[in-house]
Amino acid sequence: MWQYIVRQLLQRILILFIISFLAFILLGQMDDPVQLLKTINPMITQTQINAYIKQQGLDKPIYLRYFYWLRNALHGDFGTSRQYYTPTFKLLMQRIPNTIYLQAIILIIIILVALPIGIYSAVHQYSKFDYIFTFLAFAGAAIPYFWFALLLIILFGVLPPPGLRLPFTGMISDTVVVNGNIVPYQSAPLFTKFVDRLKHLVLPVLSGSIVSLAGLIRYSRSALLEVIRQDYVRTARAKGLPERKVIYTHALRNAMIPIATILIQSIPGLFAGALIMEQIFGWPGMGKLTFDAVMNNDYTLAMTSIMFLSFLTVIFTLIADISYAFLDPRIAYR
Amino acid sequence: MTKINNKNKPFSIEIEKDLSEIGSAQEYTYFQMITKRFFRHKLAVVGLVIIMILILLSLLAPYLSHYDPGKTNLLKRFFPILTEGHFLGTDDVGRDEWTRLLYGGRVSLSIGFIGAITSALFGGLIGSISGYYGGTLDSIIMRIVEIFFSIPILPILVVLARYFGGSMWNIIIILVIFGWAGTARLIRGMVLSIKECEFIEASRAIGCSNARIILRHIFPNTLAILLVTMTLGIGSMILYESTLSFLGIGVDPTTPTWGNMLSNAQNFLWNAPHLVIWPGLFIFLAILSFNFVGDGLRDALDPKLKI
Repeated sequence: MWQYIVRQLLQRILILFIISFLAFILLGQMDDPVQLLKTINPMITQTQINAYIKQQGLDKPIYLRYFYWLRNALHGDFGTSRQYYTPTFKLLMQRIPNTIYLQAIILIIIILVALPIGIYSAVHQYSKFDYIFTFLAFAGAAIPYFWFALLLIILFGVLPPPGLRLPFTGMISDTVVVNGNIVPYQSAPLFTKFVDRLKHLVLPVLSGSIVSLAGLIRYSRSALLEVIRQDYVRTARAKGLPERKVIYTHALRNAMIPIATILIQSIPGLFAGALIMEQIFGWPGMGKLTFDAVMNNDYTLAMTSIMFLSFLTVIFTLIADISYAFLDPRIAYR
Repeated sequence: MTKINNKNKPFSIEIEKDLSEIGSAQEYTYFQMITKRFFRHKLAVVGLVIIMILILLSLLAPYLSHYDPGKTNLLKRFFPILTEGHFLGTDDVGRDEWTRLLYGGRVSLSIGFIGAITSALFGGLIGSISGYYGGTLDSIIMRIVEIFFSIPILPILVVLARYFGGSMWNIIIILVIFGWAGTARLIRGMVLSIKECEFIEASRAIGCSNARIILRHIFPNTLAILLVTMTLGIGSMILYESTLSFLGIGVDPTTPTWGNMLSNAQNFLWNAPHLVIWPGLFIFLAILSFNFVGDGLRDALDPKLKI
């Protein structure tokens, strides 16, 4: 087993290097930093430009620049952001907790809602409940996330009277109302802060979880259905076990293997999907940071977050593969 | 077969249906059989009808509306729904919403169709070559596919669209670059089993060239699957295009597309919330219908298939 893991790990590290090379070349082609410097400061002298070129290593061919970047990156230095003049890695690490905070809540809600529905649908296959949820799952898979989010914003944030509106920008309000007075968020009592945070969570969580629910409902339903058709489930029924026990101990445990794997695999997707979600809701997470970086030509920062997301994708697919083999002893390591 | 009238066992009725089909199979050609099975799938038929309507609406746009989709009129800003002459209202610069929806469909649907067909054909061809030749070529291609699977697509699409976006064709190219890998892997798996069949051995025995075997004997056998991935692919292409346009980096913002209209409507949530409803509804209907049709096609072509 260790041999399998090590070989897979090496293969994926290689893939990571290839992705970083391709991404570096791609981002390197995108704009001309010298031109950018000239637009920002039209009075700049040629000597200053030359000094900048030398300092940034722009006179070197791109593959050499890649190796410089790689050497620094392997030492933990991912460069300095062109927008904020701070190390990009530090910026990313400041924003990631906000993204995890939102996405973890969404993931937990999805699991808590989708699994029971999927199980119930599979056990009562072809019932009315099953048809309704299969159709809703279809609709959920087709609904464009950003449209659904905007509809929710209009429904709960724009149309209701001012007192009942839910906030839809950012993680916290700048000011909150305490006893009829407007005070800054920092000086508000703990409970008011908590309620304010909760209010800001409602719309992003609602839109994010409803759209992603569909996939997991369909997946858990079909996973359980597949297991229910197996011979050992028939055996369990034949020897007279109560239906509850057949489903919840014999069938469900085996159906959980593919479900757990797909959940692990979906985690990097949550981070990538945060890009749109955080853009719409002005959520100060890494998705918004990445998008702003791309829009403002901040390539060192964009490169760092793309590498972070690729790293997540590679690592989580590896974990999913290993856990699949780990959970299901029938799968041999090759 | 004796008829079992037991409502708790629907599968027995299913068997009877299948038997009747086998008995009369001789009367139908392959194509007729597929269409017959497809039309039994009600949601797929509904999807097909909706797609037809959407295509007709965008094709007949000049006849269904006498407005110019790009003509602005600042005296007619933010007309609400059901205003006389503008039954879906007007946007922030007085352009007719209904007209823009019709013309927007042209761009969005074209990107969906062209993008999905190109990436399915390209992926199919790469997959066939990879599966047929095997060996080093196969492992190189499969490593490339693996790399594409490990790339976080959305951020890379955003970077690419930010610089090469703007024109419809560039968006299609960008989407195809990231769309072929899945199809290639699927088709490769099929080709691996097809190439062991006797008819391939026979064609090799009579001296067919490799190119001929791939194009004339293997490729047609994967067409059914390609058709299904293509149909499902159109939906996801439309979704990606509208996502990029919504973020403001897709097709040039002056061109009406459903994504662009939503992106624009986002800025006027307080003045004109009704502008959000229609473009999103059209995107939703289009994706839903293509998914239904894709599902129906898959069931009609091969019920055991898993995509």
